[in-house]
Amino acid sequence: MKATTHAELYRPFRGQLRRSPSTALVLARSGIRTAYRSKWPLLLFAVPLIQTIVRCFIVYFAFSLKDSGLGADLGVGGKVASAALLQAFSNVEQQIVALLTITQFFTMIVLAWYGAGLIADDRRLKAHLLYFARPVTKSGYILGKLLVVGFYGSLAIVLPATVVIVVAVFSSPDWAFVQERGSKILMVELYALLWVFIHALGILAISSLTKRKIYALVAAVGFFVLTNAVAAFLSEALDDSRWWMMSMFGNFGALANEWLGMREREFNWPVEYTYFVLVGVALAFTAILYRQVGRMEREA
Amino acid sequence: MNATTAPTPPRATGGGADGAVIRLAGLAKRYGKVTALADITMSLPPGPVGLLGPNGAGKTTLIKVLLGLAVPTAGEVWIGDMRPTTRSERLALRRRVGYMPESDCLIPGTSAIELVSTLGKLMGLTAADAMTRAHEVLDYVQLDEARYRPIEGFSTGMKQRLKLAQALVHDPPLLLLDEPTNGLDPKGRRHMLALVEDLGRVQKKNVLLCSHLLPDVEKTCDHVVVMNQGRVALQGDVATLTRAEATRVVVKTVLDGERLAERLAAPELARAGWSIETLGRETYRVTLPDASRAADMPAATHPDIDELLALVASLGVLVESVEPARSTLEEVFLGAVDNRTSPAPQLRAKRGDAT
Amino acid sequence: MTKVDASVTGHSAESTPIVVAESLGRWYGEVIGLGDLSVTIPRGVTGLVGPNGAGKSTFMKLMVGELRPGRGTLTVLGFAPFANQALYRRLGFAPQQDALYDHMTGRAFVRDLVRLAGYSKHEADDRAVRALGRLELTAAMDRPCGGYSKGMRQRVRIAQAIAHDPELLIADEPLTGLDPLARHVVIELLRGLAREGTSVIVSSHVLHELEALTDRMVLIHRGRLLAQGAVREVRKLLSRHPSKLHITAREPRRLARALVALEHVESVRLHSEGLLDVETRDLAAFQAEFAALAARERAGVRSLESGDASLEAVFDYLVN
Repeated sequence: MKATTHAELYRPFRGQLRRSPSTALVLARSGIRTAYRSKWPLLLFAVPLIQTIVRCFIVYFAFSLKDSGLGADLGVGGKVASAALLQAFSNVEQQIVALLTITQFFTMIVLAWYGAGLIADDRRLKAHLLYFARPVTKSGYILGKLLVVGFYGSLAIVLPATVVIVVAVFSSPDWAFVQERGSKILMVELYALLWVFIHALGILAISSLTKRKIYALVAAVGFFVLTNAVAAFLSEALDDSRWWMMSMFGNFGALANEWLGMREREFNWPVEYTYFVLVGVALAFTAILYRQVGRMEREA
Repeated sequence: MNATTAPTPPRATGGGADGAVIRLAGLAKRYGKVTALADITMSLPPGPVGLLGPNGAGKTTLIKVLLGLAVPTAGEVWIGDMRPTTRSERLALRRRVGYMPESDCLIPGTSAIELVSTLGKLMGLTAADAMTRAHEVLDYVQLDEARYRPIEGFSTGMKQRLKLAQALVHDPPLLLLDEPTNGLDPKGRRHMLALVEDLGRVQKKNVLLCSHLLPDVEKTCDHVVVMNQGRVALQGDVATLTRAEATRVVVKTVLDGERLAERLAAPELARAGWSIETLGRETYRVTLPDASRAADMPAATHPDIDELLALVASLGVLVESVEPARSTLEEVFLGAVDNRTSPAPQLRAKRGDAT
Repeated sequence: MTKVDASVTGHSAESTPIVVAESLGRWYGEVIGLGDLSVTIPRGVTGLVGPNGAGKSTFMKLMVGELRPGRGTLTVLGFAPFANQALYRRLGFAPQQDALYDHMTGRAFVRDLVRLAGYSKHEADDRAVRALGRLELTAAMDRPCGGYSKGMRQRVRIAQAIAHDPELLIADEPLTGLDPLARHVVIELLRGLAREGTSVIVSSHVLHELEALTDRMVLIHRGRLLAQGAVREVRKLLSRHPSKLHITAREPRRLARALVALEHVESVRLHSEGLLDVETRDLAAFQAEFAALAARERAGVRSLESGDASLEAVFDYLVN
């Protein structure tokens, strides 16, 4: 039988294929765009948004109210700032830290929502058959997914913190906030990024273990909430705050104490333990991810 | 060529001396104790090639090796002038291959055009090229306005065409199509097979078609490879393997076929070289007397049925068709794989002798 | 579109039809499954054909009693199928979708289903083993279904449909996913069942497979009956399409001249390699005259083939 003709002719491609496309970025952009499709989850950002706005105002007024009492004390470099200004700085720090503390929970929800389906849905719909027939490595795939969930997570915590900091910097006279508390600013950003990173890894790892987004969502939220609840209960019941080490909340709390100078809660262990736990957890999540994605790759 | 010497590398122009695009030499793949592929050596010409074999024969593993997803335990793989040995070479190999998986696969939450262009970008096309190319291939498979809709709502036919489109976006010289007509209705199947034929015969790509539907393969492919238990059981051109015979024909009558059978079984005809075999209802295999009896006459290459038709006319039997007897690809396959003599009579009967 | 009916009655001794549908209709909300289907399916093997979305699956679900008709009537083996226990025992249905329990062995799965037909545990096991044997699953039947390949799962589904020796087997795409070896097994099984007196209704998209099983078909399109009967008979009724034939000969021109002289021949086209395409208005007349003509002309005829009497061609004419 002859080949039947059909309307369109096949056109060969005369262009070039790049040697090593940045697959992680391509996956990230595609994933971010896809997630943005449904607009309802943007409601999850409501609380962080409100928090940001409120705190920005507070921070702004913290400096402007003190303006009158500042006079010409300040100058660049070397001069001691007045007590009033230092007080303002402390207030602002407290605001930022409070912001971080409150948005953490909502960030976790955001991460869980955007991240739960990222790998689970791919597994269910067998998208890996398409991805791994291309020059995509496991690392490229994982990094691409991490960037998607990290992006949305950062919008919920890193961005608010940064915005407040920027407002503080511009509100403070001659941007003194940067000079006086520059290292603190750095620690805040680092804290927020680390927070997103660890939790994102966790969500992705859980997502890679199942084929249904809803299971991953429940499991992820459940994991974080339960470990917190158990830690809280045990540390109260046994009157030993070291039980907090088993939850992310506890560990990041200890980190906040150390890095951000918070002293709201006492976490009675050397901060090195927290470093150890966080590294361990990160490694565990990464190991799970590589193992699961490796299985997906082999299935292709 | 001595099997133990290393094969000479093909010229950089992208093929072996015989124009082959895929060459495998002594390819083997073992997973622990299980041998998935054992000593595969083949040289595939350009154009459409059928890859056949029972489940578990090693076809999937072979595909994985061609995609650079499985590392061979032994042997060499050449695709054009590329012979991947390192991990990055295996990754790069995928740029030359377009894979259409058998299973349903989607990228969640995207539209057809997004899926194809993203997958194109992952191959290394620039964003602009990927988008243009995505539209081109979607035109080719005739996915028109549907390309802007989310894939989750697509019918089976549309999903299959989309899978083919994503395999074509980077214009690879080698296409691996795994059961491309799965789930398609007759019109969809015909369309898909027409595309496969076009890609193989007209665009001259290497198309490796994995299918259990042997008549489709027989129609669309020029060359077939039959695998069994990790080895190549049989390989050859379809035309040669299913070559029509010159002295036997299959006759289908409309009615009264038995009268023809009786006549042809008569002793004087038998002595002249005629014989007849009943294959099914109104279906017979007739052996024609070999006209080229003399030693210096060339052997007949085509049947000559004028005599037969004269007999038919004299009996007043109506004949629906007369075709040279040929093995179907199915018979060839079963013969290669099953080791029992191919059950030709049952397979040849087109009409169910059950009703 | 006019309905084409070429049903041949009295084809076998028992001519009571197995399925009778009259004005059968079924909707899913606004979506039409079947609109107005009236068809009579006789005993024997019948193919059920139609484009995707035409109503084949709906019709099957109605026949096996999974759905209730929205309107019209349907009788299968004399019973109205919906929720009809008595019918379930005489009917076997091999669906297309996955419905196996992964942790059970194939044998246990079929046995449990056979028990539902009322057999004792011992007898059910016997029947299960025999059915699985007919599908060449004897070696694998004591392994859990979870480890089965797609083709093996398909065969298990068929096994459970025949284990209780039904009068009627309805099979939805029974050959998908099967490799040629397994395909051969199942085709032989279906033929064997038909010889034993079981009626079979097979739905498939792969038309040449259906042709290997039967020459009787029911074609459904847009929720209605489009054609029924033997393929060849249906083709004859499509008189607006002249019959196409392909002839190869050593001296095609001479043959062509002679053919053109025949009154019912509409056109003869010559191709390279001695191939002639002939179109005739009257196939029967052509068949009656061709043999004598060829014998007279001695143009070295090599083959005579029909160009469009296959199920595929008939389907094409009717659906497009």
